[in-house]
Amino acid sequence: MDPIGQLEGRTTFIVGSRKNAGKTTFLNYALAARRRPHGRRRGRPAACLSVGLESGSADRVFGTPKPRVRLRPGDAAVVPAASLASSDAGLEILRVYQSATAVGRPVLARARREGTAEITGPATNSGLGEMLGDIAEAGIDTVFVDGAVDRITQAAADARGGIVYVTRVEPGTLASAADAVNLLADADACPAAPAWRSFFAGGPAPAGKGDFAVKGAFTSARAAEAPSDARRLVLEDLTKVFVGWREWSALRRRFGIAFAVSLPLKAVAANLYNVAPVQFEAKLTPAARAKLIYNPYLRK
Amino acid sequence: MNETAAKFCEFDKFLAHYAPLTPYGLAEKARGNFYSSAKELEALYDLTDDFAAFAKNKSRADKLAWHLKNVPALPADGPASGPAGLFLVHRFLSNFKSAAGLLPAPLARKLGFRWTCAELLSILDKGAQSGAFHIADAFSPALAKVRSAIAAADRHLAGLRAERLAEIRKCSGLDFGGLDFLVIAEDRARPLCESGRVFTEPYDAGRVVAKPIMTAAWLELSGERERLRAEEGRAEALACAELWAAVAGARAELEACEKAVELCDRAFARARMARELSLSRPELKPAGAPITVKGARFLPLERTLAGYGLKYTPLGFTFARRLSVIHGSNMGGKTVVLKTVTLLQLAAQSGFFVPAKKHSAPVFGSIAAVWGDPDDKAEGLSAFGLEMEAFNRAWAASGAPLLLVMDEFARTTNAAEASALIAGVLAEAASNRNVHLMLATHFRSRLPREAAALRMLGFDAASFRKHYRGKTAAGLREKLRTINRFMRYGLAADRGSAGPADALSIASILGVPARVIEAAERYMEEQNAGD
Repeated sequence: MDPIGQLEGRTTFIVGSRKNAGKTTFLNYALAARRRPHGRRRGRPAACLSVGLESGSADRVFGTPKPRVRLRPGDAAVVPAASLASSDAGLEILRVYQSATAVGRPVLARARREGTAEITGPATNSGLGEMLGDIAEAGIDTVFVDGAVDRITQAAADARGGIVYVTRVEPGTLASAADAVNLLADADACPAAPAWRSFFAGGPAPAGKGDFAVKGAFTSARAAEAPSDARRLVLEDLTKVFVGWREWSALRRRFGIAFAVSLPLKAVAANLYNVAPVQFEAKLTPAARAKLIYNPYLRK
Repeated sequence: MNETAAKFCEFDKFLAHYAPLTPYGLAEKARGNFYSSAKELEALYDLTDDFAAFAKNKSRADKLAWHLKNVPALPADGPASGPAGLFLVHRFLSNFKSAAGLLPAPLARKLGFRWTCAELLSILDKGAQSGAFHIADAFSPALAKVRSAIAAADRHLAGLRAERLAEIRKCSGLDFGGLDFLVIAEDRARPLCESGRVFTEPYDAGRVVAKPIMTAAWLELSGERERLRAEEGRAEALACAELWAAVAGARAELEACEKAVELCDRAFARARMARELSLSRPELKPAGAPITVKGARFLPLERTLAGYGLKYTPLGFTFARRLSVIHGSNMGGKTVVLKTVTLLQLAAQSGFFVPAKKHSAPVFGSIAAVWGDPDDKAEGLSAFGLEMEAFNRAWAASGAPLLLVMDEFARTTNAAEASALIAGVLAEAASNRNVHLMLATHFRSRLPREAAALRMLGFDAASFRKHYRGKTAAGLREKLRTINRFMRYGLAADRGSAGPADALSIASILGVPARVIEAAERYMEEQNAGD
């Protein structure tokens, strides 16, 4: 698997298991790796932005230094207007958005020379769609979105999207981290049910027997509501899954599960702290292991 | 006052078709302007007509729409918005200029669409390329000089870094490539640390984050680059301030452009809406003139009926007197008549063309509806209390020309007192020449001279019986279809008779049990015999 090459020409949401999981570090790696001399699309620019308070504005709002991304000439980023002057990437402005976020007006800007910039994003899901549209209009087809998983659904439904899940694994979180990865990888194998999309957007349910659609959060209680003749559970997308791996596995044995909006899991980037790869892999299913890449900064 | 009327006639559904393209037009839509000046309204209608003619050239209309869509709001925070604000000013002017070039000269003059910012745009153009904007070298020789020095420093720094990384790679095999750091085993890092080539910090128990330590030459040049960057920042800020001074110098012209854009956007959007919904220009008449409608459509109902496959009967009538009292069958269309007139009047006085072949009416100072709004709630007040409170609020506006629409007034009290209350309202309205009243009711009251008694034509019970002979309609859709087929949705002068008992026929079609209907009919016969 070429972990970065497979992200070319698509919008990739880099989501994390928790704060400081290493999302922005992975984003910086992806931006650097694709520009290396042997990179598949050397010279083609990429764009990046962030979504969600957790990654977009909290740091500035609460006074913590915000991680920056390194842009190469031609790369674009959504940055706070107020941070334009502090970037050394010689940014030129492509678009200024009217709806201000907690850190002020977001600006889509393009680097005229190599340098770093602070990234931000939209205040709303529709704003995310607008930004992705503007990036495409600027001729950039590889986009990295650093952010919270609960903000990606609507835009991802229309984008050629994928997910990279970044997880921080420590001895105390080894089992739970593995469970989360196993669930994600298993959910990724579930089929899409696009006919149900309009239902989740407020439209009528499509005709057909045996499907039980769950609106909103998919919890144990909601799963128990499935009628006895239900053969398949239809969920909106994987961000609505609020059951653990064990329960998920049990449900998968009972039902088929499909997602109205499916977001392909492109890779799981694991940052291991005091955990050996063999320990982590021993807890993963084959499907999860197939998605696994390790901290790309790691050298033997 | 107009809010009650807007809610009664579902004005938001009409407004949903109004789609301005600029932030200025959208702000005006959100404000919801209501005009009580015929002159202002005629000017708006003229512009809508002008844009309807302009839009016949589809290519030009599409281009204008594209430029309007790309007009941003000028930044309210002025110089504080920095280069991002300058980008917005440049984008505004570029699109304004292009839009101005598309409009016919007479229309541009009417809108105040005059291109007066050529000098400012030519200054800002120096920082623009293919829609992008930055504080370019062209704005300041100092900027050009310092940026050239930064570029040279960057090249030199890259060379020094590559040399240093090659040296580290050669002596340790550690390849940083394009990365700022690596994570390596602690024991491998130790000799590198000792050699002074790599700096480390803990990662976990067995590994460290290793970062290359650059040479003294690199550090010195990097420091110089920092100094140059600071100089660049100062030069950029200076250039930015000068550009904002140029913008401030053109403030009056920019404000005129903003007004022109808003007016253009509003009229263009109204013209597109008129075409989409087949609207026509209202005719404004002097105070006291009758309200005349022809081919008038209450759009929400028209759409609902179309969904059921049912025909919609447009309204045509002249409300010749200042007060109109409308009687008629249940489901006979009384409320729709009131809603249609309210929608047309509110649309017309909001500067829109109207969903009618003809609509002529005077201009009112306000429009109010008293209609038993289900959302109207106040602690301690019953439905009757709320209705009286709504009437009081509406009546408070009767010091100026008022169109007052009342649907089923006093419906929640007994018939005798409801009739008395209605008689009181009519008497008071008769004595106040500002009030143009339209009232629909089932109750009979004594009418003043100023009032016209009207009735809906009602249910054609004879035809219904002939066609159905006791069969009942099944399902709501079929019931509605049946009512729609035999209901005559028209208005006529009311001769004052009690009228047919359509309520029982409608109740029967709607599936009320036959025994209930029969008992009700017997009761009515007894009452009539008693009378």
